[in-house]
Amino acid sequence: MKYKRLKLFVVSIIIFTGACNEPETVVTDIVHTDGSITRRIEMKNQENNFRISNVQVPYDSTWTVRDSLEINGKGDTIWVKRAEKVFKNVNELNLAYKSDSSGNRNVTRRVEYSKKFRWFQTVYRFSEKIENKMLHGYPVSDFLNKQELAWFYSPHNVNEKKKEGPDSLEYRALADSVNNKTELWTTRSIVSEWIAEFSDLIAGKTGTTALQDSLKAREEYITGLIMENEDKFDSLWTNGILLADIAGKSGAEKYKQDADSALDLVTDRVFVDFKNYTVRMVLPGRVTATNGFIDSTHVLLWPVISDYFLTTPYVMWAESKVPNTWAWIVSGLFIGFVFTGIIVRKK
Amino acid sequence: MEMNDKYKRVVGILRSARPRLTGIENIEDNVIRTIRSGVKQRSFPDIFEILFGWIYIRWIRYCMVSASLLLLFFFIFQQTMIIRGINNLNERSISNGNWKVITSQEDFDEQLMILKLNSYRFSKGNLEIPEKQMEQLLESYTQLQDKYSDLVKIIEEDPVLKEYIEKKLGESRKKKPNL
Repeated sequence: MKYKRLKLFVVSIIIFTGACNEPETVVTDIVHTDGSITRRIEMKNQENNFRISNVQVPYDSTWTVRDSLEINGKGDTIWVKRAEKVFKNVNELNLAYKSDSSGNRNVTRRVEYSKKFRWFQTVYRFSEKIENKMLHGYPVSDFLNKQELAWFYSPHNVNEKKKEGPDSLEYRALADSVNNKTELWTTRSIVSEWIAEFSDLIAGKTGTTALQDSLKAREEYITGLIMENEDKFDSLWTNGILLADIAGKSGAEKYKQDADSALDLVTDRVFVDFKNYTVRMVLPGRVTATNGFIDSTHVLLWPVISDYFLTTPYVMWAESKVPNTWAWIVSGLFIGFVFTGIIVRKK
Repeated sequence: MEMNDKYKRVVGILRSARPRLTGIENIEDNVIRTIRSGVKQRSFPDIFEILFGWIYIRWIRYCMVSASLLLLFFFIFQQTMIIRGINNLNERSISNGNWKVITSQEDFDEQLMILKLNSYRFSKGNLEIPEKQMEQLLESYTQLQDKYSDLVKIIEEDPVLKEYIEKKLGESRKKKPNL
């Protein structure tokens, strides 16, 4: 057990260095009026490592791929891979996601497209949804207020810029508040998930109803206990001290295996290796609603970070409207005709 | 009496000598043209009545007016919604052109926290390193982090040092072969 922290440290370093080797990826979906989608993936890496298992979004030999080398602002050589493919419709794109073998294959992604005729306008809606990892977690909106939620979903570098600019004190306080609350949210969700899984595992056994009820009732207490003992969690858990506190001494002895299995399930579900990336969308006509961000070139943007779909699905959506010129003309003529008739009658 | 006779004779001569009609065809053409133009003037109200005949039928008139008003309101409603939507979009604008996802320190901390929760699973340790060495490693890692932060702070606070380091970095970059 004494070696565990080292293992943790080594794994952390691996994760950290691994994150450095993964390409910086921007996915651009250009949605056409006929429902076809041109998907462009731009991957930049300091190494020429664009193996499918190392990239964020799947692509294959059917894509048009271009490789190039660029020199960035610091004078470093950057390997750039650009892949492009036209998908006839969203089903084709979803099919590509189903056979996903990229680094993010462990998450379920899906795109949706709709086109609605609304007489003066045709409304287009395109969305990409990433399914939540946890089944019994709490939505982050239960823990953060409107302002904090806006901060939570904002791109990291935009937040950093705010923290350095005017009202930096206010923003720093906001950032701290968001960090504390999201930590509580994550732990509470993990606890909730563990309780649900543990309850399922012990459900068939005799005399477990009281324990199940007690666990759910003490969820907040368990969360506090874990947060207090975060650094010593591994040893406290392995020695059964935490479980004894949570489920009682007899319960800990009796259900230790089930508790471990439940924790295994939860950690497998939560600890999904996910490589962050950026999604961009271009829709026909004028964008009228979105939950994304709009950059200086009027392109829609979303950061895709694993926290966003921890407990609830992360839906990146945008709506645009294209005016139907013929409908405007027809309507104008009709209204003009009716009012002319009324005027004539009065005369 | 004589005067009366003279007068009657002049009137009789004038009556017998009627003016001769010239350009009878022109007169006929003019009459026909006038008649035809009269027919045309009469046909205009007929087309008007065909087009706008509905205005005299109450239920059609009401339907037409209602439909046009509905269209008008629908148009105004749609435009209002679009304007409102576009105004809301202004709040979601970010001027930073060089936008990208960067994993923050907080994200890394969260990953660490999850790992801490996860670490108990490595019960059958493969790494046989004494606890003391492990602690030393962790300690040196923390010290390195602190020193690095201090170093960055010192450089940032000293413009001369910053300039010197930037110069040296620039030189080292120049030496780097460009592929």
